[in-house]
Amino acid sequence: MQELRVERSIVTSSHVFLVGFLAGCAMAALVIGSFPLQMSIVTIFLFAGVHNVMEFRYFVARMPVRWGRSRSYYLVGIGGVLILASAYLTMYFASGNWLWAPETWALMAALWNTSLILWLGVLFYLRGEQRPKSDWGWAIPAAFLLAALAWIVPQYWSLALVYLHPFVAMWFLERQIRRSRPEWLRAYRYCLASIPVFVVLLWLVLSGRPDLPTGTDLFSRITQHAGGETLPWISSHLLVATHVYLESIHYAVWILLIPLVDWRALPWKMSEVPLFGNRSGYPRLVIAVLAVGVFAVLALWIGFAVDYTTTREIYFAIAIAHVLAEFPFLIKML
Amino acid sequence: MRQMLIAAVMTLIASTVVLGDLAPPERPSGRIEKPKGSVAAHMTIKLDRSATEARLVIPRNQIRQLRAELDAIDNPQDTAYAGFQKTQMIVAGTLMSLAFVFGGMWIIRKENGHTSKGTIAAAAVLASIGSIATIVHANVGPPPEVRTINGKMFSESVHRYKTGSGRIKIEISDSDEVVLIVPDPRTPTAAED
Repeated sequence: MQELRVERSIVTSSHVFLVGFLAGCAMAALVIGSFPLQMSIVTIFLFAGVHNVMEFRYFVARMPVRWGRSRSYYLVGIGGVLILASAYLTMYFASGNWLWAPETWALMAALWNTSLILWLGVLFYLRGEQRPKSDWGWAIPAAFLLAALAWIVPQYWSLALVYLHPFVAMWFLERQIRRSRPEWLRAYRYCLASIPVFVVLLWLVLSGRPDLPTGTDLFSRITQHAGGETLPWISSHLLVATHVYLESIHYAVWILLIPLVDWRALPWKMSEVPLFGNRSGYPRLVIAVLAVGVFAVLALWIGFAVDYTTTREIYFAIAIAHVLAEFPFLIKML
Repeated sequence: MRQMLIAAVMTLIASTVVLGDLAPPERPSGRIEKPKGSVAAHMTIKLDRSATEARLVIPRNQIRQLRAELDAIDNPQDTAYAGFQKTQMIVAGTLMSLAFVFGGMWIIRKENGHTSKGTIAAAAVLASIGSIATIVHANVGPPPEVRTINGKMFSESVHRYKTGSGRIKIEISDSDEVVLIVPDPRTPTAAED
């Protein structure tokens, strides 16, 4: 008697993840491509502060109670974040001063970029020292080469940072999927591969669109942030849409996907935070800082509602700290 | 690590000779001319029998670039900014030197004199890119006289008077290239009469 085998396609969680991701990206590309300025305002209003709190919660959970062998690494990492963030804020708020000539600003910006790159190179090197049988000494020459590029084409370098920053979250997600949901890794790689496809589609559709209006200070700042002045020959509609699209994916990764992959990243799962749950930890400090973060989000929403343009300027100046803080934790996960 | 530090100090000392590689400024006075609002572009000159008038077709993106250059003229940068550009070159050159020095030391230290397959592969890829670039540049194309815009394109009359003029229509297009469309001056053949 012949045995009949019926092949059934089983829908797994990774399939659901893939389809959901693709659907979300497609819808985001459609809406953001149609209304880039409006979506820039809405996404920053709703998600900017929340994603910072989620990031901080994630980093706190990855910070060990005792640094041990990683002491040098964390000292360089945290020290670099504090010094570079302070320098950035000093440059930002002092640049309107009459003492600042244009070349002074350019020199300070180039020095800051160089410091950032060399700091990253040192972090890579220190991380390599912790990994057995690995030699990450290439990080130092690579850092010098990138720093040279930052001096040769400073405006393009700064713009590249703006556009590459969203991908840092995707890198975190990939590392987290490896640890928590390895069965989703293949589906996630398809998701990653779809992002440039959607970006190319945006470019094909929007490349011929006229520039966005810059009648208000807010609109001109949004356009400038996306590279409208650095790349004047490219439609600002396209640039703003691309930037907002990538930033939206960045927000979605921190707020939705990382907690989805690892439920321990949910903000209220405080027992999963070593600095909170460990006997040698600092529970009150962790709670206090998280509470300050939550109040900061509320203050940000109020600020956006009262004066969106000014609040946006202040937010992006201070938010450099969170951008810098991502790097030590990301490199530590490698 | 100590060797790296010594190499870095030596490179920084040696970087003082970087200035020797800089081309001397064209104007001895050191004054920097203001930019004239120009954009580098490639132009094709087409002889078109059906054209009734000369037309210069400029791509929209190049108009945007030109507009940005003109805005820069209206808001001229401080001539002292030229000093920063010089600093840019020196610092970039120094950093690249350090990159090569540290990179070389890392390769030597890692391989201990034995070249690994990875290093050979990387060198092969770089050599291939260089070879392909050479082959691309050596491609046979149209003769030289139609690949550059110079006096050889013009008739004896133009050379006699060193000038030519007439009405031209300037248009904006969505293409990528500047095109000068010129009515074809050739007289019709007997078959065409």
